[in-house]
Amino acid sequence: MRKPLPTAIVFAVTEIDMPHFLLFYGMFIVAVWMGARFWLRAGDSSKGVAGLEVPAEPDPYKIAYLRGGREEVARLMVFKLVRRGYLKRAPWTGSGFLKWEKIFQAEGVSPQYLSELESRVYNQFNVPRGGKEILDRVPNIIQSHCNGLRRELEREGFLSPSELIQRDWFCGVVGGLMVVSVGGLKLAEAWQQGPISVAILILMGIVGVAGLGLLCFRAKMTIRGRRYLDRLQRAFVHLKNGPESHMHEGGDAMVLAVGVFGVSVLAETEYAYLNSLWEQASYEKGSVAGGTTGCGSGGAGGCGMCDGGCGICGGGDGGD
Amino acid sequence: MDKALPSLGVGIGYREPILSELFLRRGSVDFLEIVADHYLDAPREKMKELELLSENFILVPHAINLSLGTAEGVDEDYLGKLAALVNWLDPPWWSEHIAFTRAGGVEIGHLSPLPRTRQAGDVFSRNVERVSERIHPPLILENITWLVDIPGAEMSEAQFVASVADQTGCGLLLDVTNMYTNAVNHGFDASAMLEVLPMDRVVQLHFAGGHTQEGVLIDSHGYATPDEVWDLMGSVVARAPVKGILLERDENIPPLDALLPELEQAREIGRRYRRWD
Ligand SMILES: [Fe+2]
Repeated sequence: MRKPLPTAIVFAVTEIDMPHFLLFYGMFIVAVWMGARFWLRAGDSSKGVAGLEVPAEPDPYKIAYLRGGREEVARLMVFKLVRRGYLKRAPWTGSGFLKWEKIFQAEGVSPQYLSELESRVYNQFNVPRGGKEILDRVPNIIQSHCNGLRRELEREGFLSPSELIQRDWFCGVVGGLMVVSVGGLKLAEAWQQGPISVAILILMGIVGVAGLGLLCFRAKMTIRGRRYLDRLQRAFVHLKNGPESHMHEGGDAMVLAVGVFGVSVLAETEYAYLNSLWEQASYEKGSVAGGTTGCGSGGAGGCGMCDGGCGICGGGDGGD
Repeated sequence: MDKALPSLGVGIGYREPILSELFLRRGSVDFLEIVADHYLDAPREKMKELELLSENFILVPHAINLSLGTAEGVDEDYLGKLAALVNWLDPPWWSEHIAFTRAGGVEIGHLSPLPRTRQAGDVFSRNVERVSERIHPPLILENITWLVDIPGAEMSEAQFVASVADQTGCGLLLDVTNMYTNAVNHGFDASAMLEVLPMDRVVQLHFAGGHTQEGVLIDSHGYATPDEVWDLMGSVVARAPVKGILLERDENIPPLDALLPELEQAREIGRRYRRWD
Protein backbone atom coordinates (compact mmCIF):
# COMPACT_ATOMS: atom_id res chain seq x y z
CA MET A 1 0.00 0.00 0.00
CA ARG A 2 1.25 3.52 -0.79
CA LYS A 3 2.24 5.59 2.20
CA PRO A 4 0.35 8.89 2.80
CA LEU A 5 2.38 11.94 1.65
CA PRO A 6 3.63 13.28 5.06
CA THR A 7 4.80 9.81 6.02
CA ALA A 8 6.51 9.50 2.66
CA ILE A 9 8.32 12.82 3.19
CA VAL A 10 9.41 11.79 6.69
CA PHE A 11 10.64 8.51 5.28
CA ALA A 12 12.53 10.26 2.47
CA VAL A 13 14.18 12.66 4.94
CA THR A 14 15.31 9.87 7.26
CA GLU A 15 16.79 8.06 4.26
CA ILE A 16 19.35 10.85 3.64
CA ASP A 17 22.81 9.90 4.91
CA MET A 18 24.12 11.85 7.85
CA PRO A 19 26.78 14.13 6.32
CA HIS A 20 24.45 14.89 3.39
CA PHE A 21 21.58 15.44 5.76
CA LEU A 22 23.42 18.39 7.35
CA LEU A 23 23.62 20.05 3.94
CA PHE A 24 19.96 19.30 3.33
CA TYR A 25 19.08 20.63 6.78
CA GLY A 26 20.95 23.87 6.13
CA MET A 27 19.07 24.34 2.87
CA PHE A 28 15.80 23.48 4.57
CA ILE A 29 16.38 26.13 7.25
CA VAL A 30 17.16 28.78 4.62
CA ALA A 31 14.00 27.78 2.72
CA VAL A 32 11.92 28.17 5.91
CA TRP A 33 13.47 31.61 6.52
CA MET A 34 12.67 32.71 2.98
CA GLY A 35 9.13 31.43 3.26
CA ALA A 36 8.68 33.28 6.55
CA ARG A 37 10.11 36.45 5.06
CA PHE A 38 7.74 36.23 2.12
CA TRP A 39 4.80 35.71 4.48
CA LEU A 40 5.79 38.66 6.65
CA ARG A 41 6.36 41.03 3.77
CA ALA A 42 2.99 40.19 2.33
CA GLY A 43 1.37 41.35 5.56
CA ASP A 44 3.43 44.52 6.17
CA SER A 45 1.36 47.61 5.55
CA SER A 46 3.90 50.08 6.90
CA LYS A 47 5.92 50.72 3.79
CA GLY A 48 6.56 54.13 2.28
CA VAL A 49 7.79 57.41 3.66
CA ALA A 50 4.79 59.58 2.81
CA GLY A 51 3.21 61.20 5.84
CA LEU A 52 6.40 61.29 7.91
CA GLU A 53 6.36 65.08 8.24
CA VAL A 54 6.87 66.46 11.72
CA PRO A 55 3.45 67.79 12.77
CA ALA A 56 3.12 71.51 13.41
CA GLU A 57 1.60 70.68 16.80
CA PRO A 58 3.01 67.32 17.86
CA ASP A 59 1.06 65.38 20.48
CA PRO A 60 3.60 64.48 23.20
CA TYR A 61 1.36 61.67 24.51
CA LYS A 62 1.09 60.06 21.12
CA ILE A 63 4.86 60.20 20.67
CA ALA A 64 5.40 58.82 24.17
CA TYR A 65 3.08 55.94 23.40
CA LEU A 66 4.88 55.21 20.15
CA ARG A 67 8.19 55.25 21.97
CA GLY A 68 7.34 53.18 24.96
CA GLY A 69 3.66 52.36 25.30
CA ARG A 70 1.32 52.96 28.22
CA GLU A 71 3.98 53.38 30.90
CA GLU A 72 5.66 56.16 28.96
CA VAL A 73 2.34 57.98 28.67
CA ALA A 74 1.91 57.56 32.44
CA ARG A 75 5.37 59.01 33.10
CA LEU A 76 4.65 61.94 30.82
CA MET A 77 1.28 62.63 32.42
CA VAL A 78 2.84 62.62 35.88
CA PHE A 79 5.59 64.97 34.68
CA LYS A 80 3.03 67.33 33.20
CA LEU A 81 1.12 67.43 36.49
CA VAL A 82 4.36 68.11 38.33
CA ARG A 83 5.33 70.79 35.87
CA ARG A 84 1.99 72.53 36.18
CA GLY A 85 2.32 72.53 39.94
CA TYR A 86 -0.41 70.00 40.78
CA LEU A 87 2.01 67.39 42.07
CA LYS A 88 5.23 67.86 43.94
CA ARG A 89 8.15 65.99 45.39
CA ALA A 90 7.50 64.42 48.79
CA PRO A 91 10.15 64.47 51.50
CA TRP A 92 12.46 61.47 51.30
CA THR A 93 11.43 58.35 53.12
CA GLY A 94 13.65 55.44 54.04
CA SER A 95 16.85 55.61 55.91
CA GLY A 96 20.57 55.71 55.44
CA PHE A 97 21.84 54.96 51.99
CA LEU A 98 18.47 54.28 50.36
CA LYS A 99 16.30 57.36 49.79
CA TRP A 100 12.96 56.75 48.13
CA GLU A 101 11.55 59.44 45.91
CA LYS A 102 7.78 59.96 46.13
CA ILE A 103 5.39 62.55 44.80
CA PHE A 104 2.05 63.74 46.05
CA GLN A 105 -0.55 66.48 45.63
CA ALA A 106 0.67 70.04 46.10
CA GLU A 107 -1.27 72.07 48.67
CA GLY A 108 -3.45 74.98 47.73
CA VAL A 109 -3.87 74.01 44.09
CA SER A 110 -7.36 73.41 42.77
CA PRO A 111 -7.66 70.65 40.18
CA GLN A 112 -10.66 72.32 38.54
CA TYR A 113 -8.71 73.15 35.37
CA LEU A 114 -7.57 69.58 34.84
CA SER A 115 -9.21 67.34 32.25
CA GLU A 116 -11.25 64.43 33.55
CA LEU A 117 -8.44 62.00 32.83
CA GLU A 118 -5.83 64.23 34.47
CA SER A 119 -8.12 64.61 37.51
CA ARG A 120 -8.36 60.86 37.87
CA VAL A 121 -4.60 60.55 37.75
CA TYR A 122 -4.19 63.49 40.13
CA ASN A 123 -6.58 61.85 42.63
CA GLN A 124 -4.20 58.91 42.95
CA PHE A 125 -1.73 61.18 44.70
CA ASN A 126 -3.75 61.95 47.83
CA VAL A 127 -0.93 60.11 49.59
CA PRO A 128 2.74 60.14 48.53
CA ARG A 129 3.38 57.53 45.83
CA GLY A 130 6.61 55.92 44.78
CA GLY A 131 7.50 54.99 41.20
CA LYS A 132 6.33 51.38 41.37
CA GLU A 133 3.00 52.32 42.91
CA ILE A 134 2.47 54.94 40.24
CA LEU A 135 3.23 52.49 37.45
CA ASP A 136 0.91 49.96 39.07
CA ARG A 137 -1.98 52.43 39.10
CA VAL A 138 -1.73 55.14 36.46
CA PRO A 139 -1.36 52.95 33.34
CA ASN A 140 -4.68 51.28 34.16
CA ILE A 141 -6.41 54.64 34.55
CA ILE A 142 -5.17 55.89 31.19
CA GLN A 143 -5.79 52.57 29.40
CA SER A 144 -8.73 53.72 27.29
CA HIS A 145 -6.92 56.94 26.29
CA CYS A 146 -3.94 54.81 25.28
CA ASN A 147 -6.17 52.51 23.26
CA GLY A 148 -7.17 55.54 21.20
CA LEU A 149 -3.52 56.51 20.72
CA ARG A 150 -2.66 52.96 19.72
CA ARG A 151 -5.45 52.81 17.12
CA GLU A 152 -4.30 56.14 15.68
CA LEU A 153 -0.68 54.97 15.50
CA GLU A 154 -1.72 51.68 13.90
CA ARG A 155 -3.83 53.51 11.35
CA GLU A 156 -0.84 55.67 10.43
CA GLY A 157 1.35 52.59 10.07
CA PHE A 158 3.64 53.51 12.99
CA LEU A 159 2.65 50.54 15.16
CA SER A 160 1.93 47.02 13.98
CA PRO A 161 -1.70 46.03 14.46
CA SER A 162 -2.23 43.26 17.03
CA GLU A 163 -3.58 40.91 14.33
CA LEU A 164 -0.36 41.33 12.37
CA ILE A 165 1.73 40.52 15.41
CA GLN A 166 -0.36 37.40 16.06
CA ARG A 167 0.07 36.43 12.43
CA ASP A 168 3.82 36.79 12.76
CA TRP A 169 3.88 34.77 15.96
CA PHE A 170 1.95 32.04 14.19
CA CYS A 171 4.48 32.11 11.36
CA GLY A 172 7.39 31.94 13.82
CA VAL A 173 5.92 29.07 15.82
CA VAL A 174 5.05 27.00 12.73
CA GLY A 175 8.46 27.64 11.15
CA GLY A 176 10.21 26.84 14.43
CA LEU A 177 8.33 23.54 14.78
CA MET A 178 9.28 22.61 11.22
CA VAL A 179 12.96 23.30 11.87
CA VAL A 180 12.95 21.42 15.19
CA SER A 181 11.01 18.39 13.90
CA VAL A 182 13.12 17.89 10.77
CA GLY A 183 16.29 18.14 12.86
CA GLY A 184 14.75 15.82 15.48
CA LEU A 185 14.19 13.11 12.87
CA LYS A 186 17.93 12.63 12.59
CA LEU A 187 18.93 13.20 16.16
CA ALA A 188 19.07 9.48 17.03
CA GLU A 189 21.15 8.68 13.95
CA ALA A 190 23.45 11.62 14.69
CA TRP A 191 23.90 10.25 18.19
CA GLN A 192 25.25 7.02 16.72
CA GLN A 193 27.72 9.02 14.61
CA GLY A 194 29.16 10.73 17.66
CA PRO A 195 28.83 13.90 19.70
CA ILE A 196 30.17 16.21 16.95
CA SER A 197 27.29 15.34 14.61
CA VAL A 198 24.80 15.93 17.44
CA ALA A 199 26.41 19.27 18.29
CA ILE A 200 26.31 20.41 14.66
CA LEU A 201 22.70 19.33 14.29
CA ILE A 202 21.60 21.06 17.48
CA LEU A 203 23.58 24.19 16.59
CA MET A 204 21.94 24.34 13.17
CA GLY A 205 18.53 23.92 14.80
CA ILE A 206 19.26 26.74 17.24
CA VAL A 207 20.46 29.04 14.45
CA GLY A 208 17.38 28.18 12.41
CA VAL A 209 14.97 28.93 15.25
CA ALA A 210 16.86 32.09 16.30
CA GLY A 211 16.78 33.37 12.72
CA LEU A 212 13.05 32.82 12.64
CA GLY A 213 12.71 34.64 15.92
CA LEU A 214 14.49 37.67 14.51
CA LEU A 215 12.34 37.55 11.41
CA CYS A 216 8.96 36.85 12.88
CA PHE A 217 8.68 38.36 16.32
CA ARG A 218 8.53 41.88 15.07
CA ALA A 219 8.66 44.93 17.24
CA LYS A 220 5.39 46.65 17.78
CA MET A 221 6.92 49.73 16.25
CA THR A 222 7.05 49.33 12.48
CA ILE A 223 9.97 50.42 10.31
CA ARG A 224 7.84 53.39 9.36
CA GLY A 225 7.24 54.11 13.05
CA ARG A 226 10.96 54.02 13.75
CA ARG A 227 11.61 56.38 10.85
CA TYR A 228 8.96 58.74 12.17
CA LEU A 229 10.38 58.67 15.70
CA ASP A 230 13.86 59.22 14.28
CA ARG A 231 12.62 62.31 12.43
CA LEU A 232 10.93 63.66 15.56
CA GLN A 233 14.08 63.10 17.60
CA ARG A 234 16.19 64.81 14.96
CA ALA A 235 13.80 67.74 14.67
CA PHE A 236 13.67 68.33 18.42
CA VAL A 237 17.25 67.37 19.21
CA HIS A 238 17.99 70.72 20.84
CA LEU A 239 15.23 70.15 23.38
CA LYS A 240 17.10 67.06 24.49
CA ASN A 241 20.18 69.03 25.40
CA GLY A 242 18.45 71.84 27.19
CA PRO A 243 14.69 71.69 27.48
CA GLU A 244 14.76 74.44 30.11
CA SER A 245 16.11 76.94 27.61
CA HIS A 246 12.85 76.54 25.72
CA MET A 247 10.65 77.20 28.72
CA HIS A 248 9.69 80.56 27.32
CA GLU A 249 7.62 78.66 24.80
CA GLY A 250 4.83 78.21 27.30
CA GLY A 251 6.31 75.13 28.91
CA ASP A 252 5.03 72.87 26.17
CA ALA A 253 8.51 72.39 24.75
CA MET A 254 9.60 70.65 27.92
CA VAL A 255 6.59 68.34 27.92
CA LEU A 256 7.27 67.70 24.26
CA ALA A 257 10.91 66.92 25.05
CA VAL A 258 9.83 64.30 27.59
CA GLY A 259 7.36 62.90 25.07
CA VAL A 260 9.99 62.63 22.35
CA PHE A 261 13.02 61.54 24.37
CA GLY A 262 11.73 60.29 27.70
CA VAL A 263 12.33 61.53 31.25
CA SER A 264 16.09 61.27 30.85
CA VAL A 265 16.02 64.78 29.33
CA LEU A 266 15.20 66.01 32.81
CA ALA A 267 18.58 64.88 34.15
CA GLU A 268 20.09 68.36 34.40
CA THR A 269 16.89 70.12 35.39
CA GLU A 270 15.02 70.79 38.61
CA TYR A 271 12.93 67.71 37.82
CA ALA A 272 15.89 65.31 37.86
CA TYR A 273 14.35 63.56 40.89
CA LEU A 274 11.72 62.11 38.56
CA ASN A 275 14.50 60.13 36.91
CA SER A 276 15.37 58.61 40.28
CA LEU A 277 11.69 57.93 40.91
CA TRP A 278 11.39 55.80 37.77
CA GLU A 279 14.74 54.13 38.31
CA GLN A 280 13.59 53.12 41.76
CA ALA A 281 10.40 51.76 40.21
CA SER A 282 12.50 49.55 37.95
CA TYR A 283 14.55 48.45 40.92
CA GLU A 284 11.43 47.63 42.92
CA LYS A 285 9.90 45.74 40.06
CA GLY A 286 13.17 43.92 39.61
CA SER A 287 12.36 43.41 35.98
CA VAL A 288 14.46 43.96 32.90
CA ALA A 289 11.59 45.58 31.09
CA GLY A 290 11.45 48.35 33.62
CA GLY A 291 15.19 48.92 33.75
CA THR A 292 16.79 52.09 32.61
CA THR A 293 18.21 50.52 29.52
CA GLY A 294 15.04 48.78 28.45
CA CYS A 295 12.14 50.05 26.45
CA GLY A 296 9.55 52.00 28.24
CA SER A 297 12.06 53.09 30.80
CA GLY A 298 11.96 56.61 29.61
CA GLY A 299 15.58 56.57 28.62
CA ALA A 300 16.60 58.88 25.84
CA GLY A 301 17.68 55.89 23.83
CA GLY A 302 14.09 54.77 24.02
CA CYS A 303 13.31 51.95 21.73
CA GLY A 304 16.36 52.47 19.66
CA MET A 305 17.71 49.68 21.86
CA CYS A 306 15.00 47.40 20.67
CA ASP A 307 14.94 48.20 16.99
CA GLY A 308 15.96 44.73 16.05
CA GLY A 309 12.45 43.54 16.53
CA CYS A 310 12.49 41.87 19.89
CA GLY A 311 8.73 41.81 19.93
CA ILE A 312 8.63 42.66 23.59
CA CYS A 313 9.82 46.19 23.18
CA GLY A 314 9.07 48.79 20.56
CA GLY A 315 5.50 49.67 21.33
CA GLY A 316 5.91 48.55 24.90
CA ASP A 317 2.63 47.30 26.15
CA GLY A 318 0.73 49.21 23.53
CA GLY A 319 -0.80 46.09 22.17
CA ASP A 320 -2.63 45.32 25.37
CA MET B 1 11.73 86.47 -15.34
CA ASP B 2 9.14 83.72 -15.20
CA LYS B 3 5.97 85.17 -13.69
CA ALA B 4 4.87 81.69 -12.63
CA LEU B 5 7.26 81.53 -9.68
CA PRO B 6 5.33 80.93 -6.47
CA SER B 7 5.08 83.54 -3.77
CA LEU B 8 6.88 82.04 -0.77
CA GLY B 9 6.59 84.77 1.86
CA VAL B 10 9.14 85.27 4.59
CA GLY B 11 12.03 82.97 5.39
CA ILE B 12 15.28 82.68 7.24
CA GLY B 13 18.69 81.32 6.35
CA TYR B 14 18.90 77.87 7.93
CA ARG B 15 21.56 77.51 10.59
CA GLU B 16 21.85 74.38 12.72
CA PRO B 17 21.40 76.10 16.13
CA ILE B 18 17.83 77.08 15.26
CA LEU B 19 16.76 73.66 13.97
CA SER B 20 14.43 72.65 16.80
CA GLU B 21 13.03 76.14 17.21
CA LEU B 22 12.10 76.14 13.54
CA PHE B 23 9.97 73.07 14.17
CA LEU B 24 8.42 74.69 17.23
CA ARG B 25 7.69 77.88 15.27
CA ARG B 26 6.57 76.43 11.97
CA GLY B 27 3.91 79.06 11.36
CA SER B 28 6.38 81.93 11.55
CA VAL B 29 8.71 80.79 8.79
CA ASP B 30 7.45 80.22 5.24
CA PHE B 31 10.66 78.96 3.70
CA LEU B 32 14.31 78.28 4.45
CA GLU B 33 17.42 79.05 2.49
CA ILE B 34 20.12 76.43 2.82
CA VAL B 35 23.77 76.98 1.95
CA ALA B 36 24.15 74.43 -0.84
CA ASP B 37 27.88 74.06 -0.19
CA HIS B 38 27.17 72.57 3.24
CA TYR B 39 25.52 69.57 1.57
CA LEU B 40 28.07 68.79 -1.14
CA ASP B 41 30.23 65.85 -0.04
CA ALA B 42 28.37 66.01 3.27
CA PRO B 43 28.43 63.18 5.81
CA ARG B 44 25.37 60.97 6.18
CA GLU B 45 24.15 62.80 9.28
CA LYS B 46 24.17 66.13 7.46
CA MET B 47 22.23 64.62 4.56
CA LYS B 48 19.67 63.25 7.02
CA GLU B 49 19.28 66.79 8.33
CA LEU B 50 18.63 67.95 4.77
CA GLU B 51 16.11 65.16 4.24
CA LEU B 52 14.29 66.22 7.40
CA LEU B 53 14.26 69.88 6.35
CA SER B 54 13.13 69.10 2.82
CA GLU B 55 10.21 67.03 4.11
CA ASN B 56 9.00 69.83 6.31
CA PHE B 57 9.93 73.16 4.72
CA ILE B 58 10.22 74.77 1.31
CA LEU B 59 13.96 74.96 0.73
CA VAL B 60 15.81 77.37 -1.52
CA PRO B 61 19.46 76.42 -2.12
CA HIS B 62 21.98 79.24 -2.02
CA ALA B 63 25.35 78.43 -3.60
CA ILE B 64 28.58 80.21 -2.72
CA ASN B 65 31.45 78.65 -4.63
CA LEU B 66 30.20 78.19 -8.17
CA SER B 67 32.22 81.27 -9.13
CA LEU B 68 30.13 82.33 -12.09
CA GLY B 69 32.54 85.17 -12.85
CA THR B 70 35.58 82.95 -13.42
CA ALA B 71 37.05 83.42 -16.89
CA GLU B 72 38.15 79.74 -17.22
CA GLY B 73 34.58 78.59 -16.73
CA VAL B 74 32.86 76.87 -13.81
CA ASP B 75 34.40 73.92 -12.01
CA GLU B 76 32.63 70.95 -13.60
CA ASP B 77 33.13 68.73 -10.56
CA TYR B 78 31.52 71.30 -8.27
CA LEU B 79 28.78 71.93 -10.82
CA GLY B 80 28.01 68.22 -11.02
CA LYS B 81 27.55 67.95 -7.26
CA LEU B 82 25.55 71.15 -7.08
CA ALA B 83 23.34 70.04 -9.95
CA ALA B 84 22.64 66.72 -8.23
CA LEU B 85 21.66 68.52 -5.04
CA VAL B 86 19.52 71.27 -6.57
CA ASN B 87 17.78 68.97 -9.04
CA TRP B 88 16.99 66.52 -6.23
CA LEU B 89 15.53 69.28 -4.03
CA ASP B 90 13.64 70.70 -7.01
CA PRO B 91 13.16 74.14 -5.37
CA PRO B 92 11.10 76.98 -6.86
CA TRP B 93 14.44 78.70 -7.57
CA TRP B 94 18.03 78.71 -6.37
CA SER B 95 20.64 81.45 -6.10
CA GLU B 96 24.29 82.36 -6.59
CA HIS B 97 26.27 85.58 -6.44
CA ILE B 98 27.40 88.02 -9.10
CA ALA B 99 30.99 87.40 -8.11
CA PHE B 100 33.93 85.06 -8.43
CA THR B 101 35.59 82.91 -5.78
CA ARG B 102 38.19 81.23 -7.99
CA ALA B 103 40.73 82.62 -10.42
CA GLY B 104 43.51 80.83 -12.29
CA GLY B 105 42.59 77.62 -10.47
CA VAL B 106 43.12 79.25 -7.07
CA GLU B 107 40.33 79.39 -4.48
CA ILE B 108 40.13 82.94 -3.16
CA GLY B 109 38.01 81.97 -0.16
CA HIS B 110 35.50 84.79 -0.37
CA LEU B 111 33.13 86.46 -2.79
CA SER B 112 35.05 88.93 -4.94
CA PRO B 113 33.45 91.59 -7.12
CA LEU B 114 33.77 91.36 -10.88
CA PRO B 115 35.26 94.15 -12.95
CA ARG B 116 32.21 96.04 -14.18
CA THR B 117 32.96 95.57 -17.86
CA ARG B 118 31.12 94.09 -20.85
CA GLN B 119 33.79 91.41 -21.10
CA ALA B 120 33.19 90.28 -17.50
CA GLY B 121 29.46 90.27 -18.26
CA ASP B 122 30.05 88.02 -21.28
CA VAL B 123 32.10 85.55 -19.22
CA PHE B 124 29.43 85.53 -16.55
CA SER B 125 26.68 84.96 -19.06
CA ARG B 126 28.56 82.09 -20.71
CA ASN B 127 29.01 80.40 -17.34
CA VAL B 128 25.35 80.82 -16.45
CA GLU B 129 24.44 79.22 -19.77
CA ARG B 130 26.60 76.18 -18.95
CA VAL B 131 25.09 75.94 -15.47
CA SER B 132 21.52 76.10 -16.84
CA GLU B 133 22.26 73.04 -18.95
CA ARG B 134 22.85 71.01 -15.78
CA ILE B 135 20.58 72.63 -13.18
CA HIS B 136 16.89 72.71 -14.04
CA PRO B 137 15.25 75.05 -11.46
CA PRO B 138 15.64 78.76 -12.29
CA LEU B 139 18.73 80.59 -11.04
CA ILE B 140 18.54 84.03 -9.48
CA LEU B 141 21.60 86.24 -8.97
CA GLU B 142 22.60 88.14 -5.85
CA ASN B 143 24.44 91.45 -5.61
CA ILE B 144 27.40 91.42 -3.21
CA THR B 145 29.27 93.97 -1.13
CA TRP B 146 32.62 95.28 -2.27
CA LEU B 147 35.28 97.28 -0.51
CA VAL B 148 37.73 98.01 -3.31
CA ASP B 149 36.52 99.37 -6.62
CA ILE B 150 38.25 97.53 -9.46
CA PRO B 151 39.67 100.09 -11.90
CA GLY B 152 38.47 100.21 -15.49
CA ALA B 153 34.77 99.98 -14.68
CA GLU B 154 32.59 100.70 -17.70
CA MET B 155 29.42 101.03 -15.68
CA SER B 156 27.98 101.59 -12.21
CA GLU B 157 27.13 98.67 -9.92
CA ALA B 158 23.42 98.97 -10.67
CA GLN B 159 24.09 99.14 -14.41
CA PHE B 160 26.33 96.08 -14.22
CA VAL B 161 23.76 94.05 -12.25
CA ALA B 162 21.06 95.13 -14.72
CA SER B 163 23.24 94.19 -17.67
CA VAL B 164 24.08 90.75 -16.22
CA ALA B 165 20.41 90.07 -15.49
CA ASP B 166 19.52 91.12 -19.01
CA GLN B 167 22.23 89.01 -20.67
CA THR B 168 21.56 85.87 -18.64
CA GLY B 169 17.79 86.20 -18.42
CA CYS B 170 18.04 85.37 -14.70
CA GLY B 171 15.99 86.85 -11.90
CA LEU B 172 17.58 88.86 -9.10
CA LEU B 173 18.12 88.17 -5.45
CA LEU B 174 18.48 91.71 -4.22
CA ASP B 175 20.35 91.89 -0.94
CA VAL B 176 19.10 95.21 0.40
CA THR B 177 21.67 95.13 3.20
CA ASN B 178 24.46 94.75 0.63
CA MET B 179 23.02 97.69 -1.33
CA TYR B 180 22.94 99.80 1.78
CA THR B 181 26.43 98.68 2.86
CA ASN B 182 27.95 99.59 -0.51
CA ALA B 183 26.12 102.91 -0.51
CA VAL B 184 27.48 103.79 2.94
CA ASN B 185 31.03 102.64 2.21
CA HIS B 186 31.26 104.30 -1.20
CA GLY B 187 29.14 107.35 -0.55
CA PHE B 188 26.23 106.96 -2.95
CA ASP B 189 22.45 106.84 -2.59
CA ALA B 190 21.19 103.24 -2.43
CA SER B 191 17.67 104.20 -3.47
CA ALA B 192 19.07 105.73 -6.68
CA MET B 193 20.04 102.17 -7.70
CA LEU B 194 16.36 101.32 -7.89
CA GLU B 195 16.02 103.67 -10.86
CA VAL B 196 18.54 101.58 -12.81
CA LEU B 197 17.95 98.01 -11.61
CA PRO B 198 15.36 95.96 -13.53
CA MET B 199 12.80 95.77 -10.76
CA ASP B 200 10.56 93.39 -12.67
CA ARG B 201 13.32 90.78 -12.37
CA VAL B 202 13.56 90.90 -8.59
CA VAL B 203 12.41 87.57 -7.15
CA GLN B 204 13.81 87.49 -3.64
CA LEU B 205 15.37 89.83 -1.08
CA HIS B 206 18.01 89.27 1.57
CA PHE B 207 18.24 91.46 4.62
CA ALA B 208 20.42 91.46 7.73
CA GLY B 209 22.26 93.79 10.06
CA GLY B 210 25.99 94.44 10.01
CA HIS B 211 28.43 96.36 12.14
CA THR B 212 30.96 99.15 11.69
CA GLN B 213 34.65 98.41 12.00
CA GLU B 214 37.26 101.16 11.63
CA GLY B 215 34.78 103.33 9.81
CA VAL B 216 33.72 100.62 7.37
CA LEU B 217 30.29 99.00 7.43
CA ILE B 218 30.67 95.20 7.40
CA ASP B 219 27.78 92.96 6.32
CA SER B 220 28.39 90.49 9.14
CA HIS B 221 24.80 89.27 9.41
CA GLY B 222 25.12 89.47 13.15
CA TYR B 223 22.98 92.37 14.32
CA ALA B 224 19.52 93.93 14.11
CA THR B 225 18.51 95.26 10.71
CA PRO B 226 19.00 99.05 10.61
CA ASP B 227 16.13 101.42 9.82
CA GLU B 228 17.72 102.48 6.53
CA VAL B 229 17.57 98.87 5.31
CA TRP B 230 13.91 98.58 6.29
CA ASP B 231 13.18 101.76 4.34
CA LEU B 232 15.07 100.44 1.32
CA MET B 233 13.22 97.13 1.57
CA GLY B 234 9.92 99.00 1.53
CA SER B 235 10.95 100.89 -1.60
CA VAL B 236 11.98 97.68 -3.37
CA VAL B 237 8.88 95.72 -2.41
CA ALA B 238 6.71 98.63 -3.56
CA ARG B 239 8.21 98.40 -7.06
CA ALA B 240 9.22 94.76 -7.52
CA PRO B 241 7.11 91.58 -7.73
CA VAL B 242 9.01 90.09 -4.77
CA LYS B 243 8.22 86.42 -4.08
CA GLY B 244 10.23 85.99 -0.92
CA ILE B 245 12.11 87.99 1.71
CA LEU B 246 14.77 86.26 3.74
CA LEU B 247 16.64 87.16 6.92
CA GLU B 248 20.31 86.16 7.01
CA ARG B 249 21.89 85.62 10.40
CA ASP B 250 25.36 84.14 10.74
CA GLU B 251 26.83 85.66 13.90
CA ASN B 252 25.44 86.19 17.41
CA ILE B 253 22.63 83.82 16.60
CA PRO B 254 19.98 84.40 19.27
CA PRO B 255 16.97 82.15 20.01
CA LEU B 256 14.65 82.19 17.03
CA ASP B 257 12.01 84.00 19.07
CA ALA B 258 14.28 87.06 19.16
CA LEU B 259 14.38 87.11 15.34
CA LEU B 260 10.68 86.63 14.78
CA PRO B 261 9.81 90.35 15.10
CA GLU B 262 12.12 91.06 12.12
CA LEU B 263 10.44 88.32 10.11
CA GLU B 264 7.06 89.72 11.04
CA GLN B 265 8.13 93.23 9.99
CA ALA B 266 9.26 91.90 6.60
CA ARG B 267 6.01 89.97 6.25
CA GLU B 268 4.08 93.13 6.94
CA ILE B 269 5.98 95.02 4.22
CA GLY B 270 5.10 92.26 1.74
CA ARG B 271 1.46 92.40 2.83
CA ARG B 272 1.36 96.15 2.47
CA TYR B 273 2.20 95.82 -1.23
CA ARG B 274 0.07 92.69 -1.70
CA ARG B 275 2.98 90.40 -2.41
CA TRP B 276 1.29 87.79 -0.21
CA ASP B 277 -1.58 87.45 2.27
FE1 LIG C 1 22.93 87.96 0.97
